[in-house]
Amino acid sequence: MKFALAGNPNCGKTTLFNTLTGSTAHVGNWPGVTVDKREGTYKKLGEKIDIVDLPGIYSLSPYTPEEVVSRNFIVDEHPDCIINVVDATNLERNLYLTTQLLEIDVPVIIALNMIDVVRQRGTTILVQELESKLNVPVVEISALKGEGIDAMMKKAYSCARVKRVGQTVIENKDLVNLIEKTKDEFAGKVSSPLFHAIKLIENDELEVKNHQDILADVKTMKNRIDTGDFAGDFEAVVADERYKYITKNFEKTIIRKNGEEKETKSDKIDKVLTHRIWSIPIFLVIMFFVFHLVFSEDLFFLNSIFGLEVSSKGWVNFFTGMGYEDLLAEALEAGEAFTGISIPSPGVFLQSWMGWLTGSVIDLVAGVLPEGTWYTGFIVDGFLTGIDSIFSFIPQVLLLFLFISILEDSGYMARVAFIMDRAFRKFGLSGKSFIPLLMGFGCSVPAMIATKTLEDEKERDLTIRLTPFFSCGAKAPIWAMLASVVAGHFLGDIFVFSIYLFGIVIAIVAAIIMKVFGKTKEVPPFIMELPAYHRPQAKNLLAHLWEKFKHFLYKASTIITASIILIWFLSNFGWAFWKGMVEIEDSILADLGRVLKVVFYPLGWAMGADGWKYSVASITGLIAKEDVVATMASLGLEEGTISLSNAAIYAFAVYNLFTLPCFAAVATAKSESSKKGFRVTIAWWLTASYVISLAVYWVGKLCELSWIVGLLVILVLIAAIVLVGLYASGKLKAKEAK
Amino acid sequence: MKFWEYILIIAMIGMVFLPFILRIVNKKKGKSSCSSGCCCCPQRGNCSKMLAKKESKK
Repeated sequence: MKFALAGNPNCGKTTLFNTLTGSTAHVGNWPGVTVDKREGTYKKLGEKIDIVDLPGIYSLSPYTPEEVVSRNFIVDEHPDCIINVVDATNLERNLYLTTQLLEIDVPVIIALNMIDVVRQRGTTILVQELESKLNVPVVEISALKGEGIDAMMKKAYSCARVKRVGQTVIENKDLVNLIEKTKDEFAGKVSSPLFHAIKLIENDELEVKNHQDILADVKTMKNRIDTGDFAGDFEAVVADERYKYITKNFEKTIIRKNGEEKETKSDKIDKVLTHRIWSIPIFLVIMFFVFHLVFSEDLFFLNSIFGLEVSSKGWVNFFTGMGYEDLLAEALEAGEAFTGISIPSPGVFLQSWMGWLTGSVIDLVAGVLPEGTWYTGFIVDGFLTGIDSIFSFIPQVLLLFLFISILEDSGYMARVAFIMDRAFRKFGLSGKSFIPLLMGFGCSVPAMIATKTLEDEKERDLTIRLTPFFSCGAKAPIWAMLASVVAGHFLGDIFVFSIYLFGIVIAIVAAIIMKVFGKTKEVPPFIMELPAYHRPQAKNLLAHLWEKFKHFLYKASTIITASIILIWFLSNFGWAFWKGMVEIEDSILADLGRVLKVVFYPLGWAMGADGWKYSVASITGLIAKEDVVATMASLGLEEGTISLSNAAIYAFAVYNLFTLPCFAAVATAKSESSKKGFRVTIAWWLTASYVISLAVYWVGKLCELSWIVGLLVILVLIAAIVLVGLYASGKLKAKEAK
Repeated sequence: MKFWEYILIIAMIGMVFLPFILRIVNKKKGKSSCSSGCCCCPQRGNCSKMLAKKESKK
């Protein structure tokens, strides 16, 4: 048996799917998380039941790719039962889709989800009345809390055994007459003739294309009907009929508590968080706070504000897991002014402990193995050092993801897309693109897949082009590693925050430029339901983190290990490898790296003696972005041995942020873009990363020489960007005026 | 070289080829080769051929 979960976006289908099947599919408190169907199995009824989670849709019209996926499945693949998941807190609006599902010749059951929230508000839904009016079973459930799930499945199971014929809620006599006649034309040709008939009357694109033979007759019949104010727009006529039915019949099935607040808690929070002026500063403060908690070595600003010194370092060592006395000694030896020691953020604390733990394992292994042998070199300096370099940053990366998941699950990320849309619509950018882009903070692959929700092919190509600019999780170890070496340890949080922000700003500037030089189209309106804020669920958060960790473990044990072995071989053997090991500077990798160094030389970070190592590291990042850190560690570039200037470090970070993403993401970009669009995308990534890294290095260098000149150049660049933005805005306005 | 050094070299070579071997094995088993689940992946057709075959049969 096969049951389909259908419903509006963000009504809890995937949460229900996970509860039914025990899966850990990604659940997000924003619409559009599921863009393709996914399958699982429910086994509690003695028979295996396949559960299909469909993308959230508002109607069965084929306007968006999600609607096409859901419609094709429901209409063509004949599930045994459709479980229509309905957000009980927004019953009337959700029932619009229900009225369409009822027209299909498939058993339907309504699952009133989020019933716990409805009860909390003191509202009562008259389930039996609803059932009698819709003529299908209605069950109250809470997918999140697991309430009513088994009862729902039992009802769905018994429903699936009885054949059901589609029925419509349309009551207009003329229209019903037309539907009946059209239905007769379809009889015997298709399953669900009622559904096809109504869709054809609505001038549905797919039906018109597939049923040209009936179309002429239907048109003649339609001409005889008076559509009043709708002036022959039958799609509007049918929609109006549906809404009339919903308003007339279901207003009374919801009994609201007297004096129920019209303004919900979410509305009140939104007044602040989506404020016209304050929303963007609040977003920046929230993001800075997140990065501060993960990357700062000075959690309470004790050092940076008060210059506080700690006399007893013993407890600091306990907090950090690392010998801060050594750090102090190193700083003094290097002649650096070491103003004090502060309490690190939880991220740095975890990273230090992890570093200490993995470092101890390496020391232990190194102590057991004989010195000077090739295998000791491979195991200790190659394999273990490479893996350790990434592993020590994993707690920090997971913590960052925990915070991002909290923001996502609470519903705040949906607001970010809304805020962004409001700010950048002026430049011809649609807020709809920001949902996939924000998903890019996790991984570019699902983010690129999520561009399916964009109808316009050019908009899709553009969004894919910008996705890697939103730093993914695999890049986080690079930032964590560079944060520990940039500007005297205490600016790590600001460094990482600025990298993320820089990525977003460049993505917006790039989008504006592409809009200016490309053929600008009118920006389609961005309609997004803002989900209610709710407390993030520990189960969801842990599932997100577990998925991330599992993915990392798989990568570490396969592709990263393979590249570490290759890097070790290439950096320890010469072209005549059978003659034995050589010094790193005489190795195959050094020769290859020196060729790459020529290409990257103008970018600053490839200038020194170690320049070839950075060049090689940035190329191995194509396999998996974590490989940048692993390669650097294998080649001896770690905290303490990285001797780049701050400008060069920033240019190196920026290059890795904007360049080609990993191969998996490139393959996804290829499958999701148009053929021409993909070629442009590759060229764009290569050019953008090179040019931006070049600009960052030389402007940074200029700042190091003279702050005033550097600042002037930055101001000129900002002015140029603002001018381009104004030009884009003007061009769009002129187009709108036309 | 001692015998276990040869074993280590073979293991190293094996580890280099492991991602490619896993990719082929997963393809045959109809599993994804990236651990992140293939239900929503656009590469599913290429990556999990068995799954694609099953779907087309249906």
